[in-house]
Amino acid sequence: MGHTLAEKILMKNAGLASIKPGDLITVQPDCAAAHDIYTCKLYEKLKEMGFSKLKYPERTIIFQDHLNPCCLPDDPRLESYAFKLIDEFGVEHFHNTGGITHQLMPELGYAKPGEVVVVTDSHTTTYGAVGCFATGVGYTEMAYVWGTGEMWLKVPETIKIEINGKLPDQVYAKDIVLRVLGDLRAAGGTYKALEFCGTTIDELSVAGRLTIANMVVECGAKAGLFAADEKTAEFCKMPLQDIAWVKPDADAHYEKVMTYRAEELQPVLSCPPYVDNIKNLSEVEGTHIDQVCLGSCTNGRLEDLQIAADILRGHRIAKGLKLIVTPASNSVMEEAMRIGVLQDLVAAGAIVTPPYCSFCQGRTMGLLADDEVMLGTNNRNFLGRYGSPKAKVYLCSPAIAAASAIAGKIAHPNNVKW
Amino acid sequence: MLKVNYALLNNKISLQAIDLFSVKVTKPWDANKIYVIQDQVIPPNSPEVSAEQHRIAAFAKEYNTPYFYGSTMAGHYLTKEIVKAGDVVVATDEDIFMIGAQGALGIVVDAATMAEVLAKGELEMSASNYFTIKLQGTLDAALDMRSVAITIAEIFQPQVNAKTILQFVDCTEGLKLEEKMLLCGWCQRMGARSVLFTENAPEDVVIDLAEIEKGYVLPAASTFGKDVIAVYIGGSQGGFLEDIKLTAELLKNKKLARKVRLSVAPASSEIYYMAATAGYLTTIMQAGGLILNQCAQPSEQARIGEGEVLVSNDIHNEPDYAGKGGEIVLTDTRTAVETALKGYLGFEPETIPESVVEKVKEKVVAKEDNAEAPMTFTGRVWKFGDDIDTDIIMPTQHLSYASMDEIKSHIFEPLRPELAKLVQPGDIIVGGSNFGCGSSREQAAEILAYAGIKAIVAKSFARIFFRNSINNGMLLIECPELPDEVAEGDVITVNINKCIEHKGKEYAIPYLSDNLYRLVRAGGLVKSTKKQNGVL
Repeated sequence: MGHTLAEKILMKNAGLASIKPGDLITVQPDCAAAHDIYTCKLYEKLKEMGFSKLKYPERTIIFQDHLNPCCLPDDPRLESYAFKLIDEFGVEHFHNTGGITHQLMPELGYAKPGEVVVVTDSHTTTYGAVGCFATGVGYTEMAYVWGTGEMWLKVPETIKIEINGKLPDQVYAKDIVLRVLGDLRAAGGTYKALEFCGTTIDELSVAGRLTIANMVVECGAKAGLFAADEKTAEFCKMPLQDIAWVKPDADAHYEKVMTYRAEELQPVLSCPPYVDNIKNLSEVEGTHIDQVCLGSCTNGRLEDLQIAADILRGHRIAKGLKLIVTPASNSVMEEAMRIGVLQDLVAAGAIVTPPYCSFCQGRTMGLLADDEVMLGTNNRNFLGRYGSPKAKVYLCSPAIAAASAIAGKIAHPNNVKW
Repeated sequence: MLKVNYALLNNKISLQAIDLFSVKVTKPWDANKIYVIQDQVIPPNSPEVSAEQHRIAAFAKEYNTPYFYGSTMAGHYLTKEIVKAGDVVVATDEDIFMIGAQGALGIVVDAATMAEVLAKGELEMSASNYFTIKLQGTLDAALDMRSVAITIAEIFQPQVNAKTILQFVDCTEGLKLEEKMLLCGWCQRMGARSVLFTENAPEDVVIDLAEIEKGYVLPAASTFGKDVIAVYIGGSQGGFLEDIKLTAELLKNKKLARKVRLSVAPASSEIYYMAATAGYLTTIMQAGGLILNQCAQPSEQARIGEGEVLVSNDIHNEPDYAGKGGEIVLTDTRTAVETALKGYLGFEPETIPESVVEKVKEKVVAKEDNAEAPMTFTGRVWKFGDDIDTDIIMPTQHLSYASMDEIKSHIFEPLRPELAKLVQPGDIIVGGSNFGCGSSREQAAEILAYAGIKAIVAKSFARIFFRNSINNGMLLIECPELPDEVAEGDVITVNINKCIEHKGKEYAIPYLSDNLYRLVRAGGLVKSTKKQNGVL
């Protein structure tokens, strides 16, 4: 019998002839990365466990994407642990600046099609967009992986999500994944691999696929996978023939198949206080907003900024509204400046942060007062995450975010005069 | 009585003035002359700051004053777009001195006085004394007006007091507007009543700019030779387009010294725009620098730790400004950027500390856990609903304190702020479905284990949280029926691999597989691996 994409990738890594969901296997991750929220704990755990070196130092990476810029009093101390890990344990790859982990991992070729990758962060599933089995773990787990080069995994069931047809006007990848999350709900994908396919998916850019894969963890999924195609090959700078195997078998077994017609999808939003509380744009249009956050690892790529800039160009944001923009990486930001897209956003009144986890992590910059309402293109709207537990947060596509920033309330992109 | 041309409201003291004004008066003297330019803590870094900013915005909206948020440092905007020679502008922020570049007089007042000004448009001011400096000659191309300001402060501070108006007469080949803005802004450090350029005034002293040497404002002589961890180019007195251009030129095709954090904060969105288009920002990023938003400050976005050194081309060096126990050096832009490339100030440090690698002390033969009595315990229940995410369990804002006790005092805060104080070791949490969903932060599991939570019983768990909890030696038990039948405060007894007992009823629980049982029994992945690795 054939295998799903998740099974094929795991089989190859584990060196097994055949596996099935429920099997406990041992994998050797091809890449294991940590970022600066966890480097301190990771260092302590490695020492506590008695490791004096790393099994595969060439597979280890550290990103300082949460705490650089240093905004809270303890951040400088926490930033120093990356250097301890490099000097004492020999971590070979390091990015003190440069962008968000989940953008840099596929962008710089750390996360490759057909490989198994773990990172100390829940949104690691993002790299499934390029056919990489990628999932999040805690720092104790990562210390063990760094020390031994391996970890146990339960082979997940796979849910196939097939979307065919042409997306309507103003419906984007973000609307696809929010619709799916609304149907699966917060625990509907727990322990599962989600596999996306169909003509709509084929038509999506890699950026769109990254948006979708980024958010599968919001339904509890272990991985969110896409087969490798020409677009994957171009993005990853790899020959297609090397990664053509990264696709499910035609006779693979799926626990469930969900099908959608793209024409039936609409612009949607996650409404407070849950990611899976999905409503159509028409239901919440007109809601007053105080802050719009455009960017993050979910929707901080060039095409996201371009969509927003096309709407905002020549306009000013609403009086009293804050627009915070975070490109996902240096190269995204540099290209956006080269073609003038970032400048359009600045001219409209944007506050542009460096490419890092900025507003999305809710630690410091861009926090909300009691009655404020935020609209974000990122991936979480949990109670109290952005400051006051009385603030409300909606999630949406860059198009809705940009249009709403002009209107000062949640707006349909076609209803904002420009 | 001075007639006031404009008032600037921009900071916390301005908000106090607004509050005082609003108590007594219903109408300001002239709303068109009151500039509300929010340039502090952009974007807000706490709910409280955001609420304060909203109150300032509300004042602007009520009286329909000119209003700006997060687009420019106030001094820059007023100097370039609004004031002219002879204008009197009242503010609560010394940044206003920058308008002296246009020959306008900026006066800083307290909240009560500002409230009066807002009402009447007049300022009562005692007589001023004047100190006038004539500037001539040409400054060394490697320096900027900061060295001039530092030198003036070093030599002429005795001549300047709180009633002094410090005046400059430009007899050089013509200083640019930005150079005058920089000089006036930097001279705020001298504590004068105001600083401005004037055309006709007899000079007290003449300064030949060619004689100016590089200057530093040091917290202590000991900073020379010390490693510098952070460099800041930005702010109202540091984020001019020329500063960013020079930074890019010095960084082209180079990389910052290891560990150095370089932050660049343009003083306005206009400067940001031009620096982006000219390619300066890209060059700085490629060298490893961060481009902060306009109006960003080190106290919010470029912090340093105890004993660390920040080199800045802005004027803020108040004690603990960028972090408690941190030291700030002020200098010109070129020196600051060169420091970012070297990693230290002045000369080479004599010794570079070596990394210390801890070695395992002794090999200890691990004792096997043989035939022990099965785990069983009793605890008081704290009850929760469905989808309790890790942002609720352990909010991001409180995630990274050095002390576990401090982190522990914030558990469950967004949903149940009173709970952290009440939880006792041995307590048991009961939840609905999907407990622990959301962010992978292991701290959520770790802090519950640290707080002494013995077990969590829920209808279902999110997967990363499940692994993290097991790895921290905390027992997670899936039990679909108990959560609906137990109340907060009840006592339950857990018998591993047998059942949960509550009010005489037994609830079936899943079998805990052998490897996970050993992990929990050992106290988590760390203790278990230590045994594996033969560590004490």
